[in-house]
Amino acid sequence: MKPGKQDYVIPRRPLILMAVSMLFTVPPLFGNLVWWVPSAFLGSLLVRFLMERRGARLRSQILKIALMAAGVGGIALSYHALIGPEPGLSICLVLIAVKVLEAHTARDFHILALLGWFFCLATVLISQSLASAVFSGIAFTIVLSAVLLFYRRSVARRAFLSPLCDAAVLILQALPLVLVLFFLFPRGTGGLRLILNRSFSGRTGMSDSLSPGSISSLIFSNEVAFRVEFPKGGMPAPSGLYWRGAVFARCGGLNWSPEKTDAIWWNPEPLSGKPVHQRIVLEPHGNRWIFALDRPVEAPHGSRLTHGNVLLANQPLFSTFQYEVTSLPNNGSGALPPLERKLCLQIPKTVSPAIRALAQSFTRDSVDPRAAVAKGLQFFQKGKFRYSLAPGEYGEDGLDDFLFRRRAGFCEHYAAAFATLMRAAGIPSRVVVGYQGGEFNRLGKYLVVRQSYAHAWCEVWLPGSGWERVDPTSVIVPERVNMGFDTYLEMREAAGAGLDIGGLSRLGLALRRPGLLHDLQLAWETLGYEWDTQVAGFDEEAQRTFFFQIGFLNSGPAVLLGWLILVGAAVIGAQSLASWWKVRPVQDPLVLLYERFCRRAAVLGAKREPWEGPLQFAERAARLIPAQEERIRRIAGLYTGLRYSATPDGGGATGLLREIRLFCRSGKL
Amino acid sequence: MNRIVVVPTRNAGGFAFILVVMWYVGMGQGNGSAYLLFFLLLGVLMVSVPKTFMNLAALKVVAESAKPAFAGQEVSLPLELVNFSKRTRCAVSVSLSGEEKASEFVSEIPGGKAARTVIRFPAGLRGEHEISTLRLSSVWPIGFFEASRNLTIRQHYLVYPRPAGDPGLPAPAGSKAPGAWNVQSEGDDFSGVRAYLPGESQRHIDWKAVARGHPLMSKQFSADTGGAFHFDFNAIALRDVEARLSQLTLWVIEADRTRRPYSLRLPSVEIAASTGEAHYHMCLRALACYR
Repeated sequence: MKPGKQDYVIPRRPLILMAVSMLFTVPPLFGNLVWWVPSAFLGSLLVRFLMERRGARLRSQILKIALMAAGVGGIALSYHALIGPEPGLSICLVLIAVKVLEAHTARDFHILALLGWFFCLATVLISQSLASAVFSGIAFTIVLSAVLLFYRRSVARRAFLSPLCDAAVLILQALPLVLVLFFLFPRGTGGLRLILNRSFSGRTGMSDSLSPGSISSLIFSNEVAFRVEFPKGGMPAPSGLYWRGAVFARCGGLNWSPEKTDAIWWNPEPLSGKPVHQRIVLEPHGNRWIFALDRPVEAPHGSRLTHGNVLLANQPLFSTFQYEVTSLPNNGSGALPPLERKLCLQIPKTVSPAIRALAQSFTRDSVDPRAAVAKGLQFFQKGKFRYSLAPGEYGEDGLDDFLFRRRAGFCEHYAAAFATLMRAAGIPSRVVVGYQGGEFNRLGKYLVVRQSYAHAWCEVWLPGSGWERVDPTSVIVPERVNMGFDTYLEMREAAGAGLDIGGLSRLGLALRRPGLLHDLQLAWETLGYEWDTQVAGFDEEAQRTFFFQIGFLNSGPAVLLGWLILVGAAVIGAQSLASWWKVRPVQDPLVLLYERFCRRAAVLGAKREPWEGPLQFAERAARLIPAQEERIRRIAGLYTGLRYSATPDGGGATGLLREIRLFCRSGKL
Repeated sequence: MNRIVVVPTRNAGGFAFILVVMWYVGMGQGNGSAYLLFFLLLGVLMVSVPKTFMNLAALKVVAESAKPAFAGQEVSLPLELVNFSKRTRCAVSVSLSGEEKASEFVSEIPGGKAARTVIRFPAGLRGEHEISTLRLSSVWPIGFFEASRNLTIRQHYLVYPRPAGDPGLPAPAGSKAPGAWNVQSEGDDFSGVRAYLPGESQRHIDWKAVARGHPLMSKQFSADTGGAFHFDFNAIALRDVEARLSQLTLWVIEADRTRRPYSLRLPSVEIAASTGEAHYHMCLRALACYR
């Protein structure tokens, strides 16, 4: 039967398989869409199965339209828009939910299968991690098995296992072709860029300004921000692992924001020291930040080096970005351009006299800026400041509140306050945000930097040595900088002096302790790293490098396409030959031998009719070919004996073979 | 005639669309996973082409004779699909492409074995018909391509005229010839048993005796009375030929039910009075093939 508009109930089992595949692909959507849309979808799957039991389905056109209208209306209310990735995907989901309720023809099932594969795509669109890819792959296999089961209609035994095995076999058979496609399919983008907005494919990451809470909100996220390899060695000590992300030079007390970079003319700040080469795989964050060890000297491809020696990608990053970058750890001497100096001394007018007085007290004894910096740090060190993740809200006069009354804050509070104080004291300063620390993966020999390592620190301009890093947080809690936040928390807990983390996620922290779980996590992350760098990250650049390494200097799209067609055709041809060999007719050698006899007999004038039995034919043939009468009878006897008798007598198969040979030869005389 | 043809199905458009979407997302977003998904689906589709093709190779169809049917009823054509290879074949549909639009689905033919199926289709006009070609097709495994293959079979089937008209039988012939049909073994009254002869109606086998372990015995009936019916084409007061044939058909059925002898006279044929299944079918055949 052709897949067409036949009105029959879609069998239950393919539908169940289809629903199971969607259990792998729909839940990840919960984080990205309004909660009720995926819920409604899963609900419709459930309703469909309850209806199925009674052989019912959604038939009323009015009800269908009403359901769709209600769904679309709800989406419009939830998003205040109908255009855009999230509302678009939500509308898709609502329409699919209605389709699930009404599906009944072969065509409907085909559409459901395509939607199942579309969900696989949505899963890898939301996240490109290995986990998403694995989920997507599982869902893909299940949809395929549902399709196989649907077209086969019935399987006698092993109701679900058998189609799943068939699907796995099909995928395994497709694997050589997939490999060929993976290496040879041209990856050029042709200038095409598909930009989905940040909230869709972006995830937790740095925000584009510094305000109280912007970093502490990241501290409990275990997500990987990026991974670093040091191909030429030279990994700095933990205390030197400052990953520069963004520089904020516009001061607003506790809130800092980036300077309009175009406003000033900028030339790279001079740097010195031993170059540290890094290969970084950055997870997509939907922004343009690119991280490198303090401080990068050259921009990798697809990005540029900008004001404050920070890297900025040319486009927001919605997919894993892999790059190599070199950093120099030390400052070079140079002069601060007057315009920039002016900019880096500006403080808002709202800064209270008390703060200005405090800042001036740092410079009272000595004009040396270094002494002022030291005094500023001393102020924090001796002022009974607390390191707290939940310092509470800071209002209008937040800076005064923080410096003189509550004295509790997280790294962003310290960095912002210190930089403001330095400016008030006449020392050019700015705030740098990024990550601090890293977890060494023994298996993969690389460093993992997680969102929880997010950090903010200061830089002050000192004559003779340029921009110098000052981390006020290290004065309050030196351990934090030396060992990373996790270890710091563990140490505090062990000492019975738990950090004030506002009762949040102690369990989450407990899970991060070392142990078997930690090792498994390590192995999984290593695998994820390999996936990101070798498989998911195999882009146009990597493809060109790969072909260059194996000796193909020209690997333009046309050349690749040519090879793809050539090799692909060879693979398909080989597979076709293999399957042709498998379906070749396999016949009983005895029958083949007898057919040889019959052919010869036909030549000699006795053609066997289809209805004639061997003995019947032998009688007739014996009459028609009297010269061979004896032999024909013997052959018939041997043949029927071998074929039909439980205990054949006479020469057996070899006897028959000899007789038939003789028969064929003798006729030729 | 025996070539296997592979063409994309109507589903191919949908597959092409999802492939383009996957490729577009992979390219536009630089999404390696989307690319992999695209390759995987493309690979599976490509691999499915030879699979679909080979699903019909080395298959033979043996058509058995179809039982005659009355016009308006259903003809059943039993078929045997023989798989000569070791590979199991899945989801093969057999269809008749001529005036008989019918298809049947065979979900599995194990390697080296055969699967049986019966194609049923409504019987059309009375007469003898020939089924010349049979179409095998399959969209296995994923419905992207359809392989099809036309097979030549020569199979005839008979369609008897549609029974219609007055069910009342005409009065039997007055002249009674008892000796002529007392020997007839069919009637209403049970008159004993004798050894079963091949060819006799199975309805008359004494199955209860068989169940007790006795050999096959045939129950004997004798018709008590009445003469033979004479059905004459020219004696029917209907103008339409088909209507007359329908009336005769109905009478033959009714007369066979009474188990009394009947004769049939058509302008071209004349069948002497008799009873029994062979006679019954001979009469109906004559009616079916009347020109």
